[in-house]
Amino acid sequence: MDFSLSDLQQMMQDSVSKFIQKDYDFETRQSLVNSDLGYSEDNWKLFSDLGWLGLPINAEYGGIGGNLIDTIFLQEELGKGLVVEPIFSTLMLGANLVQKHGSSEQKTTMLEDVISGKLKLALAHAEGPAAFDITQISTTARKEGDKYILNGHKSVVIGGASADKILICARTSGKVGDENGISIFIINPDQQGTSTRAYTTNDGMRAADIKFNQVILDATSLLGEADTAFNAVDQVLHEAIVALSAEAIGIMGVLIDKTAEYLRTRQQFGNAIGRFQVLQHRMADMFMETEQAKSMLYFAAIEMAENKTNAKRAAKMLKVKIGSATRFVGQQAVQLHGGMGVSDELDIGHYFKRLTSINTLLGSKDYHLNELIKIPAIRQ
Amino acid sequence: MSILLYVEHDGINVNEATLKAAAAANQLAEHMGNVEIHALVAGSGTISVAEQATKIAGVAKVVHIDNAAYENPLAENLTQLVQNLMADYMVLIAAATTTAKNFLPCVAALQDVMQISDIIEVKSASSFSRPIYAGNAIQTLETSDEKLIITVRTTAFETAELSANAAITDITFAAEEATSSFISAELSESERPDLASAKIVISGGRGMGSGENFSLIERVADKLGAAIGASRAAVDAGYVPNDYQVGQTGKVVAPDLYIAVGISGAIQHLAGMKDSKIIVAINKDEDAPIFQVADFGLVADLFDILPELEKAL
Amino acid sequence: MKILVPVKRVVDFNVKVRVKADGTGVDIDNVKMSMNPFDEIAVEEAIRLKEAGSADEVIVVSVGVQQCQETLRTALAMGADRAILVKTDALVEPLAVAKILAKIAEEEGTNLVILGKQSIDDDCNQTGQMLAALIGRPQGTFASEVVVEDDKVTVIREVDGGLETISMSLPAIVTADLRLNEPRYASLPNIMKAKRKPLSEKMAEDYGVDLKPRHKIIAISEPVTREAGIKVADVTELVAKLKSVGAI
Repeated sequence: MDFSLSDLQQMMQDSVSKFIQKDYDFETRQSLVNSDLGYSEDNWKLFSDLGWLGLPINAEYGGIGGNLIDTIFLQEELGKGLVVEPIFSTLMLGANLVQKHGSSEQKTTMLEDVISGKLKLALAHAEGPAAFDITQISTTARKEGDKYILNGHKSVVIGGASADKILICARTSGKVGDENGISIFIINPDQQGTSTRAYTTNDGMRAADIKFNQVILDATSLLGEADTAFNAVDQVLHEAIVALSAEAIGIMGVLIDKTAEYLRTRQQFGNAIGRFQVLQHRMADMFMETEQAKSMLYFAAIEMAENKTNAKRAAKMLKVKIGSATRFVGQQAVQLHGGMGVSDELDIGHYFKRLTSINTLLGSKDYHLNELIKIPAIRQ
Repeated sequence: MSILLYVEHDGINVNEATLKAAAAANQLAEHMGNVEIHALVAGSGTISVAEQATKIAGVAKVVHIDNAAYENPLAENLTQLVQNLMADYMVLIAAATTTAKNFLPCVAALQDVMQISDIIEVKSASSFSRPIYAGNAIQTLETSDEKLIITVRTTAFETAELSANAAITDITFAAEEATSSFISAELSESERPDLASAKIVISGGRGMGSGENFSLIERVADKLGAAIGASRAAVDAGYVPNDYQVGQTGKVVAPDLYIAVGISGAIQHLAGMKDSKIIVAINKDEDAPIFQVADFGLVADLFDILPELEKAL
Repeated sequence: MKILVPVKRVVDFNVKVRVKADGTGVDIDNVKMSMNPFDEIAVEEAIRLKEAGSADEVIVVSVGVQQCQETLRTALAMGADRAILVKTDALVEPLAVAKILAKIAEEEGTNLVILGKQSIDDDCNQTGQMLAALIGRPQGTFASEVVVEDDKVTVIREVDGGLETISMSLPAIVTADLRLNEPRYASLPNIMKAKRKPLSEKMAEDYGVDLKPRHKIIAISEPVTREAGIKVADVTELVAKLKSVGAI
């Protein structure tokens, strides 16, 4: 198979990596993490100017029309810089869902605003026991006349604090476990009856827990049709696994490079410690884990982009592989750096923290492993 | 056939860089069978420069041209002049200053030879070493060109003595009118020694935080009689003017003592100062790469250290 | 007005090259390659001149292997109008490149050629000057500001003593220094557009230039490395140490 990148992918990668080298060093990133907003609006404007915000959006709405495979190269580069701007929540979750489930009018207006940088989105899907499987949610929207009354609670809404609009997954009919009866509502963060608790996550990103108490919504708040959002959300979440995994691949690549450079320079017993075979073995293992995960990433991305029969299965397998690889690579990188590997001043520990967060997002490794047991592979 | 040494000057004095190039010229002359070295002084009202040039060790003759066209070293004019002289010379050699870097390649092109840039060693009459990749590798080359056009990295050679007593030959040359003209120069005025030739250099980096804070460095420099340099980051941030820049694309210095303050030590900066005899690094980041080349490292806040240093000296 | 910008594909600025153990060169297998940073500044300047209405067309050219095409595409994505790839697998020295560029400048009738002042691999700093001499036009090297007015171009140059301003009549050659501008990032829509911009391929032989190198590389070696010294605890110790080695 030919895995060489297209011109678009190659040049996009160069452009993003140049931005990170020049304007997004670790110190800059840390100052953004510690700022009130948690990211930079100027960067967001720049991302819009550079067309990054239009990458996964179809050309008919003014986007670039890149597919999931194009997207992973953007995500991989963003991972290398530990970029904190809410691209994942806005594009990979929010805009992708609008594109898959919105009415044509919603698509036109919302996606244009996303591309121009005016609209940041978040997807509130997860609830305590329903981190990934949205059939398990207990948030409900009860129809009363031409209004809906929303009640429930969403946890760890990524980008929920900075989003201009939040997409809420709620049950409008059926019972817990049914695929039918899931709807998406578009709400403003300051909607009456909504209470938001925003916080900084372990990895320096921002998230929010949101409670809905008798929130009264117009029918116009519905994204697309009522009751029928399951397939779109499920597809978006699986695609998001691929995008998030690409970020992890970028991070692991950086950890390997930085650790190798450290082993080449750090002296002990009169030698660069990289000359010790035991440490070389560890580096080799880190490299192999990353390469395996990368192969899984490409496989899953192609399966998902081409909508193959086993696509979602491949995405779950990827999440499992990412779970073990990131843990191994992250831990080794920290250990090989010694005590400073966990110090706040050095970037290594921050990369590891992000990897750890990635593992808990969109369903853990154990969750997906368990799901894989239930889904038989289908011979194609 | 002899060697022509281009003498760089400010209208009054021979630039010290030229004395380094003269040392390289002397080595080359020996390899070529003790050929003569002639020094070219081109300028306007520069008889005093020519007289100084007669003393440069190894120089057999000073070729002096006194003409308003050379008051400012415009590449077009110098190229025409030197191209005309090259009929009588095997080698054109000069210190790798911005003036020489500006016009020597022009002469090389007209002579149809490849210039040998920034040599750090004369291996034989046709073989030289020069740094590539910002000094991360050293290339040794053998040229097949009959005439040699060479710029010299001054930090790699000793200073030629002022012991000779050559004669001055005044020449005239009617150049074609240039299509470019000099308008103005905005040269940094400084009481301090010239950065490229100073015995002690103290440089500041981005860690200085502002142009005003460079006064901390100035006070230490005053005590030491040092020149002041800067990293690219400090120049780009506008703390100091461009001619302060030490590095791959700025000035290359090799003083007896180089003090790097608040400079992390990017490869490109190291390329400009790693031949210094003694390097001192002052930085609060213990892992800064500058410490890997420093003879004496002090991990501390420069805003505490600089005033202390000023007092201690 | 037409502006020609030559660009070179070099080992990326951030890569620390390592000398091969056998001394035949530096190890550039699987190393990231990019546009020479000074050339990127030159491309940016040309595009800005076009955006300011001083130029109608920006042509980029690269001499080298097939992959230089990627470097040209990057320049097109930044905003250059078309590209010429002069293909050769041989190692081409600045003199030969300058000769090829002279032919192209003549063929295209360009009024201004903007080059990077030096490439960060061989650090030669001569192609622009050679080109100026070969076509007999004025040069403004190491430029930190370029202003085009009618048939004149004024350049502020970074020289050892500070800054120097010169004026040249067009056609002219300019070489870019670091502070001339901050090159832009190529935007995705422009990357897409770049794919459709014309890129013509020529063979180096087409220009009738002798490419035979004048320099034979005998060896590539590691520079002498400095050993890290010692850490001192405070200013008193530092001053004492410096006095003991006679540095002050």
